[in-house]
Amino acid sequence: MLRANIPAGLEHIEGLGLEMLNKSDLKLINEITMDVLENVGIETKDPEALQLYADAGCEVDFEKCVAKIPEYLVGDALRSAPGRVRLAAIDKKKNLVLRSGPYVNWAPFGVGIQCLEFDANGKHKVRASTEADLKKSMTICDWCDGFSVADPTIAARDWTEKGRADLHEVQIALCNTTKPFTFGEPESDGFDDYFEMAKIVYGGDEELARKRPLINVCNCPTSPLQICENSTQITIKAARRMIPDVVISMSMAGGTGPITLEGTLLTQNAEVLAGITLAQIANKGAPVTYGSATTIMDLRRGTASGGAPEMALLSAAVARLSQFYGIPCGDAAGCWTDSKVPDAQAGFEKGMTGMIPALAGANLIFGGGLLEMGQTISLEQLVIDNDVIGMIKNLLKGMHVTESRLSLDEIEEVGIGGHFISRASTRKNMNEQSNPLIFDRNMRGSWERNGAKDAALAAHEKVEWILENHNPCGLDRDVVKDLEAFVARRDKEFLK
Amino acid sequence: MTVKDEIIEKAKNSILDFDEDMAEKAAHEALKEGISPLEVIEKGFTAAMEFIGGQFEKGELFLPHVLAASEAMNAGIAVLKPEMEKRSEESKSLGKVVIGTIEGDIHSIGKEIVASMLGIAGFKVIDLGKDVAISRFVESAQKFKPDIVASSALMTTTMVCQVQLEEQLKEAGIRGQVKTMVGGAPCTQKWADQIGADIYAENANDAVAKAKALVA
Ligand code: B12
Repeated sequence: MLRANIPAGLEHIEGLGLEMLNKSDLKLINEITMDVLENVGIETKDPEALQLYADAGCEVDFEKCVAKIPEYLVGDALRSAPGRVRLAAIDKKKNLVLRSGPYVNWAPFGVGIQCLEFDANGKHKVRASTEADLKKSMTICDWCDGFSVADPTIAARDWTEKGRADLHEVQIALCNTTKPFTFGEPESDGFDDYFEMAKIVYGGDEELARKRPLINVCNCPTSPLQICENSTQITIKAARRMIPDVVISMSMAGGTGPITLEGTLLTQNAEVLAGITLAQIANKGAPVTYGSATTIMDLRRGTASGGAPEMALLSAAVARLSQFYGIPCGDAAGCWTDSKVPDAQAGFEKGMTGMIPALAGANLIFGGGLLEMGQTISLEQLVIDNDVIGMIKNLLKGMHVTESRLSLDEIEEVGIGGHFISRASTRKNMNEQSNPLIFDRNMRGSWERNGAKDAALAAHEKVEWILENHNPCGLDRDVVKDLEAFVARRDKEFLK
Repeated sequence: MTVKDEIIEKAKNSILDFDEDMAEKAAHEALKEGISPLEVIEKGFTAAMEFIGGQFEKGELFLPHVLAASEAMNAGIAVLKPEMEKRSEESKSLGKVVIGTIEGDIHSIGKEIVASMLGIAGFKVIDLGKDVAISRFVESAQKFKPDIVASSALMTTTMVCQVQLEEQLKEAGIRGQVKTMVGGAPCTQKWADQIGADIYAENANDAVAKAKALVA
């Protein structure tokens, strides 16, 4: 079952944690960030955003489109931004509350543009992703209990010229999971449509659609120190409608940020805080969270690396910063890889980039299913990552040293020799053990009898099984029909 | 060494040292001595840049070096430009490229790298920036008469604008006079074939090689 909000062992007496960046580090980062926001400022070409910044007390140069944000405004914003943000699910029991503090949850990646397709022999090929791929991916994310949310992972590219691809993606998401999700490619002009679709899900109940928004959004500043108009508009509109919005900087150290990780941590902090401040100016109390897909630009290869240890450190640092600010970290990159296929490279890079931010207590770590720096999604990788996540959750538990867990009674009773297998305490606690579904822990003989499958092939079979046996839809048939009809209408208008 | 040789040597070294100030200084000195700007560019700046480019291809230098060298070169050339125009000298170029990130798309880093590398390779590059309206591509193609019109698209939602670019170049009646080049992560050779673009390149080196082959 869904086990959300597992704490890393920070500020807790139990569990495993990684206390990187101490209080004085965090304070210094914060102080210099304020310096950057006050003296360098942030550029946006959006006149509405500039006006909002100006009215709130920023020094705005309307010609250069630069807003200089004073420290007290950022402070006000951080105080009024909620420390808890609820991501509503169609199945209320699956609502996820992101809490500031070291509480770790997991999300798949969004939004890839290619699908790595496997056949029964483990052969694979990559191709443009489609609506059908998205539906499959949603089904799998809904099934995998490692994921607390089921973000759409992949673009419905078969619709880009034929209709409103964004609405198709939202519709497929609504119809194929009862978990919460964040839509990775919102259009600022699409908000009314997204709202209409949520309303359809709630049987026309406008009040509910407003109170329990189903289509959460994200937006990205442009590093260094810019926010494009689509992005400011997403923040403003989401804030006014109280829709959870995560501001994700995708700064690249050495490219769009300073080469030092510390420097890039700082610029991306300024970018995200500028976005969060804008949200709070637009509407005090708006549910906005801190996000990051900040990494390095590999300067030897000219690529945005998604599997680098530097990314793991940056994501962990971002988790610590958002704890310092008392707002949830609503997306930190983790469980990422640069590999093109689910192989050894993917395994290690995902383990590393997932584990480090988890130990630092990032509230939502996104990356499941991702390959190739986020270009490609593999359904098999989703299932494999579910195992990776499951094991990291076990790591986070750490050890709880109590007298009862030290088990002196048991040790005395079994004494020398013998075994603990049949003890009542063993039966009672055996579900504490990690239990991967794909990674093979059998002896070679059983493994061979099972077909000597590697992880990717085993995952492929699991994918087929899930797609055949799991029905993720939480909506009535009529509601699904209404959603389809709504999107079809918008497609028609789009083509006109 | 004559004064001229010394200045040209200095121009060369400014590039090899990635030193904008030195490049400007060398350019100013050349102007003071009445040396042909073109000669300073070709024997000094470009010669050094070719060396850097070669090192890059061999994998001995990397993007940070190449871009810094090209910025130093641009700084030097900017100083020489007015005098060059006065003398109506023109530096040799392999051809002209109009490049931009396509409408709706603000992913600019990849495009900037491609633009710089084309410049370094000897193309005259007119960089229109990011989120460039199709009509601006077309107008620029009419105005600058480039050999290549290059567009970058990083998103599936914006790459479809490359189709419109093909169409509007046709409508303007200039598609026959330019070659089109497309790139950016979602683009592929298949995509280029499908929309009728002349060149697809996966990265900056590939773009340079293919652009060179085209004008050869
Ligand atoms: C950095 C980044 C950003 C930055 C860009 C900053 C900037 N100044 O450029 C910011 C944060 C602004 C950004 C914003 C968004 N992004 Co973005 N972004 C990326 C990211 C992580 C890296 C891109 C990059 O710079 N790579 C490094 C450069 C050097 O490589 P490159 O661009 O591929 O260029 C090389 C080649 O492609 C080629 N090339 C490039 N152009 C050209 C042109 C020609 C003519 C030729 C021949 C070759 C060529 O040569 C280059 C050098 O080798 C990619 C993922 C990825 N790994 O690609 C996502 C990605 C492109 N973004 C994505 C998304 C969804 C967005 C947003 C919509 C997010 C949001 N919700 O706000 C916005 C959209 C903004 C907009 N309207 O354009 C998606 C696109 C998905 C899709 N459906 O297509 C991607 C794929 C990530 C993902 N999987 O989710 N993004």
